[in-house]
Amino acid sequence: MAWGTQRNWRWCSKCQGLWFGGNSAGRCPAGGGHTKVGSGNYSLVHQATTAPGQSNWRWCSKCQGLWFGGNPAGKCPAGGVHTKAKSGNYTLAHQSGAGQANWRWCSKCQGLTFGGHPAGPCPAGGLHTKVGSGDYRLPIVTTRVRVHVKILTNPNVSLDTMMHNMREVYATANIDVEWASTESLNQPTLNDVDVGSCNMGVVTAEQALLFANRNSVGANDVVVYMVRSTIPPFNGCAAHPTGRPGAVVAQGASQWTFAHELGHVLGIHHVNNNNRLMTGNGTANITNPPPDLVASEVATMIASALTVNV
Amino acid sequence: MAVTFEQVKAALDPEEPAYNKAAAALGAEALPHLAVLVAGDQMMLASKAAYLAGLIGTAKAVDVVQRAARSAHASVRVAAAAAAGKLSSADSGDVLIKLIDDGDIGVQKVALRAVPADAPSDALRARVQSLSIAKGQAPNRELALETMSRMKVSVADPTDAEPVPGAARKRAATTKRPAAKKAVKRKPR
Repeated sequence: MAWGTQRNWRWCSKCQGLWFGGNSAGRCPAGGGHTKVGSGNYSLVHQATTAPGQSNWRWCSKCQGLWFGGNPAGKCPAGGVHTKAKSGNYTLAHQSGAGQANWRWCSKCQGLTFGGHPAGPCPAGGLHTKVGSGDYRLPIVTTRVRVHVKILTNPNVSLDTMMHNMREVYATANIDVEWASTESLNQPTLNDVDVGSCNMGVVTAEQALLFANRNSVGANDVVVYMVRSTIPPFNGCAAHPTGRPGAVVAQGASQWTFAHELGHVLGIHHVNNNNRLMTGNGTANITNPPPDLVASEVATMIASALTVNV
Repeated sequence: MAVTFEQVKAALDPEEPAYNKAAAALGAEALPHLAVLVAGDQMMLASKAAYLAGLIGTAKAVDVVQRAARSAHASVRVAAAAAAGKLSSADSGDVLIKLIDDGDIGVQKVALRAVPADAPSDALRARVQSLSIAKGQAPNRELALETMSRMKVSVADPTDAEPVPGAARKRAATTKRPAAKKAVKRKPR
């Protein structure tokens, strides 16, 4: 369990296609290499067969473009057809989810292109088409937060769902959530952890013991401990020892609790509004998913030392 | 005005309920609704309901906590143990005896922590003492010893039951005997 994210995917203003900007500029069907001028930094979920969305999107090492590998390979601007050799398996949010909408699959070349502008040139001839395509959503990110998960008890709502939901909400703030690692912890006496009054800056002896399990996690990385329960019973608690940023999430937590507790870790507080992630009325009562983050909350989160510019 | 189920649920729905405030605001009128939640299939709400009942702390609250102590979900029994720690010493005994005997490490841990220093129940004190001298690597043995200490009860030497001939005098000089049981006044319900 744990899927990664990969940034540095770029929109090419010449061909409207999505391409990976971490290597050479590849080959653009409009001629020459792709350009990243004017593009945001897109983050794709990577190696995530369990993540919600459509998998089997592939990187072509010849042209650097993204193409759908569930069909026969389409024509590549670098010659011949696209290749999936050495590519990971990318999963794209499809028809719903946060991020920039109107990314389209081109049935002629199998590539992913931005449909919000006039169609760019297609390597299969003429222009890209969006006929038959769904609406893909790609998050544009400016910062990232790295999260490690340590499991004492698996939650009732799957971790995949919790992480996907969190990624979706945080994408609205242009924050990329990296699911950096997952580890099982055999700590039966901490599985029902005393969190006291759950006030920031105050921790119990049991919280101190639990949060000591970081196992070489970076100083500014967040560790979330999945426990069976807290004492007193909370869905989660973000109080953590100084220098060990993290939270606990209980087995019976809602699908939004993980994201809510990470919000506390990043410095934001409860509000009386069930449209928002930080509702103090219970995230199970969120009425308009995905819940909102307002500008002041986003500013606080980005100002946190735990969010890093990318 | 009567407390409604919706009011009780609204108090427990938050990720981190304000239990003391809820207990003060809702009071004993919340207990029938808490009993329903404890018996329900939503584990998180059942746990929260059990804990809130403990803070309300009336005789009917004891029934709700006892019901939680019989839950099939260990986390609800954990909450029942924590709730028992909020009941009066006189009221918590029966619940804690059951939960200290729970086969689940977490339930047992929280139950031991909830044992009051002035626990009036002989049976409860005996259970804690029994755990404190358990053989092997019982995970909560140390905690049982701490609990005994908190109750100001010395740990009996397990060999007392079968004295070793010729060693009695030496042991009598070095081993603490159980303290004489104090008379404990039961609090009125």
